[in-house]
This record gives sequence, C-alpha cells and structure tokens, in this order.
Amino acid sequence: MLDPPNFVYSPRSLAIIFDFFYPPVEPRRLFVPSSLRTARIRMQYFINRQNLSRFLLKVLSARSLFALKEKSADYEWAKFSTDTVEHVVTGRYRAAIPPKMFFFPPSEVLDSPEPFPSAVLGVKSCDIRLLHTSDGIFLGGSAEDDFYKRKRADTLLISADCTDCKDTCFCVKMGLNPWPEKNFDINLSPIAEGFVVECGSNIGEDLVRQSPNLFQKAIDQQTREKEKNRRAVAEKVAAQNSRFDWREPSEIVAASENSTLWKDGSISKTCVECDGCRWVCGSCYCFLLGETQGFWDKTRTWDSCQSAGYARVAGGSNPRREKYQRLRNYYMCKLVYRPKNFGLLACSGCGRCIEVCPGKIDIRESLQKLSGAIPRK
Amino acid sequence: MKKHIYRPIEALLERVIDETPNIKTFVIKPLEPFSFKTGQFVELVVPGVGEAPFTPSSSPLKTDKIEITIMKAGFVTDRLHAMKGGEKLGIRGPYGTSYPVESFHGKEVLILGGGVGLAPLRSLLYTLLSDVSKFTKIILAYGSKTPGDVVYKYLFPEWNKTRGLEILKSVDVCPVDMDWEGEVGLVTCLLDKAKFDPQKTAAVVCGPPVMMKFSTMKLISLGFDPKDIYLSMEANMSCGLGKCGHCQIGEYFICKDGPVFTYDKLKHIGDPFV
Repeated sequence: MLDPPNFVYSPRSLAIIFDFFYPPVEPRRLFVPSSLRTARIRMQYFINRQNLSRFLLKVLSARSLFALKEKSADYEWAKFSTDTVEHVVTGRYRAAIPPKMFFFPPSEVLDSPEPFPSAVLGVKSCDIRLLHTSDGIFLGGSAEDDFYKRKRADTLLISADCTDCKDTCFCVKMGLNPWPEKNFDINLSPIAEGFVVECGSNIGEDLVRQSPNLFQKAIDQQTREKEKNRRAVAEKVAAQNSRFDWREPSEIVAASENSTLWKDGSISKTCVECDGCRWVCGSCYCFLLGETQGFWDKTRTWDSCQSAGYARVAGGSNPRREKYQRLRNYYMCKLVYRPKNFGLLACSGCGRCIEVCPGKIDIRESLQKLSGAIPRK
Repeated sequence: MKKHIYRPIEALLERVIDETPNIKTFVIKPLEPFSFKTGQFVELVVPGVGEAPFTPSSSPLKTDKIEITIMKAGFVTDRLHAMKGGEKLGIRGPYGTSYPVESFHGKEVLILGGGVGLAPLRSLLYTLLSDVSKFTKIILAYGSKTPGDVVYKYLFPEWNKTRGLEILKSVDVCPVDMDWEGEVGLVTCLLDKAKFDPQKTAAVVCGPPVMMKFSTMKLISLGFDPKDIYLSMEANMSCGLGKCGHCQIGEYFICKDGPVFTYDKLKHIGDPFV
C-alpha cells in the first residue's frame, strides 16, 4: 500500500501557491478509467448528513478516504478515519490544491504499481475536467503509465457541487458549470436537509443500491432545490466574470502566438518565474525522471516548463530561452496543443494559478488583452 | 525484475572507442533481446546517476550489440566518458520514429551531418549501404569544427571505396599545424560542390541546431520540397513516451512524434531549431 500523498501537510505557502460542456473528444484517443465507467445518470437519491457519515463508514471499510477540511478561507485535502468521518465536508468551492496529486504525486519512486483503494470526496466540476486532461497524457499516447493508471482505477470519485465560488473562479468561461455532469462515481449536491445524490458510474450506482436504508429516492422539492442552488452559483460565477468578453480561448491564443503582448505588453512582465502557477495547476503533467539508489528504480518528481533550463539541450541550445516564451508555452500547451493532441481544453477555470501568482498575472486578463490583439470575426 | 514502462533493461559496456578528445563510441551489449530502426533513439541509463537520450550509430541489422557515439556535454555524459569496458548500464527504448528508408528507394539520398550528428547518420548509412542498389546515389556531406573533431576517421577510407557513395567533407577552420584534404568552410558550402537533383533527392540532416537551421534554409533555396528534408530533432528527451513534456516543441513531443520529422511538419513552428 502506498503512503497517502503527504501534501495535506504542506506548508501554508504551498497551499496558497497551489459537456455538460466538455469539448468534443476523440474517443479513440481517450482513456476511460475503470473506476469511471460511464453510466447514464438514472436516478436521483437523497441522503441526510448523518446517513452520509454512515455511508462513508461503509466506504472506509474497503478504502482510504480523502476529503476536504476547511482551513481559513481554503480547503485542504485530509485523510479521514472512522473517528473523524463525521467532520467530512463537501466544500463550498474547490480545494486549494487539485486532486491530481492523488494520482500523480509531487514525488514518487517508480518501483511497481501498487493497489490504491481510495475514495476522494469533494472533487469539483473543474477538478474533474483537470483529471480528464491528465488522463489524456498518462493513459493516452504511445503507452499507459502503470502508476497513474493503477491509482486512478482504484479510486472512487465522490464529487460535489460548488455552493459558492472564489473571486478567481471562471469555470463558466471555460465551458463548464460549477457542478459535475459526468466522469464521477457519485455526486453530492448539498441542499438544506442533506444531499441530492447522483450516480455517474456502475460502481457508484452499486454502492448506493447496497445501502437502501441510507438513500431514499429524491422528491421533486429536493431536486428543485438542487437546481435552484446550482443556478445561483453559476450566475454568481458568470457575474464576477462579466467584464471579460472573450470566447474560444484556443483560437485567441493560437492566433496571437506572435503578438508582442507576450513580451512587451505586460503579460509576462511581472512574472517572477516562481513556478507557482505550474505547481497548483491540475492539468500540468511535466516531470523529471531521476535515479534511485536501488539499481533500476526511478524517481519521478514534478518539473516546470517555466524553469529556464527545462527545455535546454546538452549543447546549450534552448527553444524557450526567454521568460515570455516559456509563459506563452504554458498558455499554448493548455489551450492550443492539448485540444489539438487530446481533444481537451486543459484549463477548467479553477483560478488556482491566478490566486497563487505573486506577479498578479490573471489568465482571464491575459486572454482579454490577447483577444483585442487579433482581428474580430 | 518487475517491468514497467520506465524500467530499463540491463546492458554491458563491452568497450569504448576514442573518436576525438571529447567524443567516444560505446559498444554496448544488451542482456535482453533489443532491436531498433535507424533513426530511433534510446535512453542510456547510468545506474544511480541518470539517463540521457542517444541515437545508436551502429547498423540496426546488427542486433547483438549496439554502438552509441557520445560527446561529453553534461552530467551523464561526463560519467559515461569515465566508464570502462565491463561496467553495467541500463537501456530503455527504442523510442520514436525512424527514417523512412523505403521511401528513398529510386532516389538520390543526400546525408548532411554536422559534428557528432554524424552518429545517427552512420546508422542510416549502414542501412542504405546494405541495399545500395535501391538508391540512385548516396552523398555524405559531413562538416566538423576542425580536422581533429572528425569522428569515424578510421571508417572513411573504407567508405571512400564504396560504389554509389560520394563523400564530401569540410571543417569550419583548419589550424595551420593540421592536414586537411577536404573543404574549409561551414558544412553548407559542400552543397555547392555536390551534384544532385533536388527534385529527385531526399535530404537527411542531423547536427547542432544552428547547423540544421542553416542547412535547411540552404536546401530550401536549392529547390528542395520541405517534404523531402528529413530532420533529426534531438531535443531534451527524457521519458521517451510523450509523457514528461521535456521535449515538447509546438504541439509535438519530439520523443514520440519524432525525432525524425520532415521540415514540412515543423515549418509552422516559429523557430524549431533554436
């Protein structure tokens, strides 16, 4: 059994630093994790708070449970036990750190893929898209990454609607809503009396059906309350982003590749190359393979394309020698290359990169500037 | 040993051949079956130290041993240069795309190499020479910094005798105390000497980025179709599987989509050679 990811103990600085609307996806290039076998959302259930704790006790009998813990205005991931399960919260908005780290931790020894029976509760709509983008990298392409696959397949995803948003949230601008539509096992929509529950996979459906005393069929009033809550949050996110009139981020960034705005127009001007945006991004995947003292094992640690030496070759040539080239590559990777290669926009509007940036670089503002630099259709 | 996609196989370093003061050829015997296609690369692992990507310089038809020519240029290569025959190495791969040799049939093949960039081209040359009648002509144009930096000096006399193979050599500079029978000038000067029909020739270029850039520009100016210019884009490849992101240039992962590209595929990228 692997040790649980230790980022829950990360210093505060790291925590801070850190279809209905999926774009069309080419099915042949996409991996569907075995724990996320898609099933049509058939039935909506209701569970109250106390019964949810009972349900999670059942989950804990077979899996480790990681869920959200409130810390100041943020949420951090924590491992819960049978003694603490009643303190699990679904979170008003996404955690400070994306759930990617459960499957692709900041550092790991690549020895042999081990079982990872876990449940992660409190994953948000934006996080689900981000996980889907890292699936494209680790499970698509020329070979499947056994380590990522094992952890992903062994994890039960219990997602939850956002009931509020941070001022950096802009999921609606990236074609998402603040509630998950698919690619979860179970989704929880908080309402006054408890939660409306939807099952997004056969595993989720089976788990719910195995506890008929805990879940009841949701009544109309409850589903109406859920819909009303959802609309309210979506409207709030839309309202706080109303000053941005850009659409189609892929087209904007692709068309402005040669814009002087990258270098001179203040997009990269205040970047201090701290790599913070990369560390908190749920779709970043770059890593460094290193050697262990064990003769043939390898270590894998996160790496950052924002570092000057990242793409440098042995002879000293560097395709992204300057800071603005690296920041531009960061945007191009997420908004142009990944849609081209994997059919997925690798930004979900979670706003973590905005929150963490000491240079106050805001991707929404950058896109606004760039959209003005290209001719309107 | 448990298998996974990043796990190397064991190999034995049989012997080391000195080429130039900072270039050596390593003769390696993989301890498990291992084969590659010309142009593909491998990750060579120095246990406990690190790994780096190299393209074998031996013939892919020889499967019991592979030869890799390596310039001393960094942490892993420094350690490799200190190794002696009998030591253990690891090897991962082969990865990436290979030269589409069959599509060169019936054509002239112009091989343009710079410095240690001749290493992967030697593998290609062996492949072409194994079936030399299939090609109208093979031209090897090779440039190095000085006469002292020429790799495979001991092979040129034999290659010079090969029918169907024309060899042109240049050095950037020739110090007064050195003998040199070839041209003096950048490798592109050889393109003015060589006789070929750009419409019927496939050009294969490998060398330092700046050499590849100016060679490609020269080939285009001579009338080559970008589809007929094959480039070996040796970027900062690490995982070899299109996952770690290090070798990404534009939308390509050089390790998976390359390292062999036609210029046609790369020309939309701002400056792929920088």
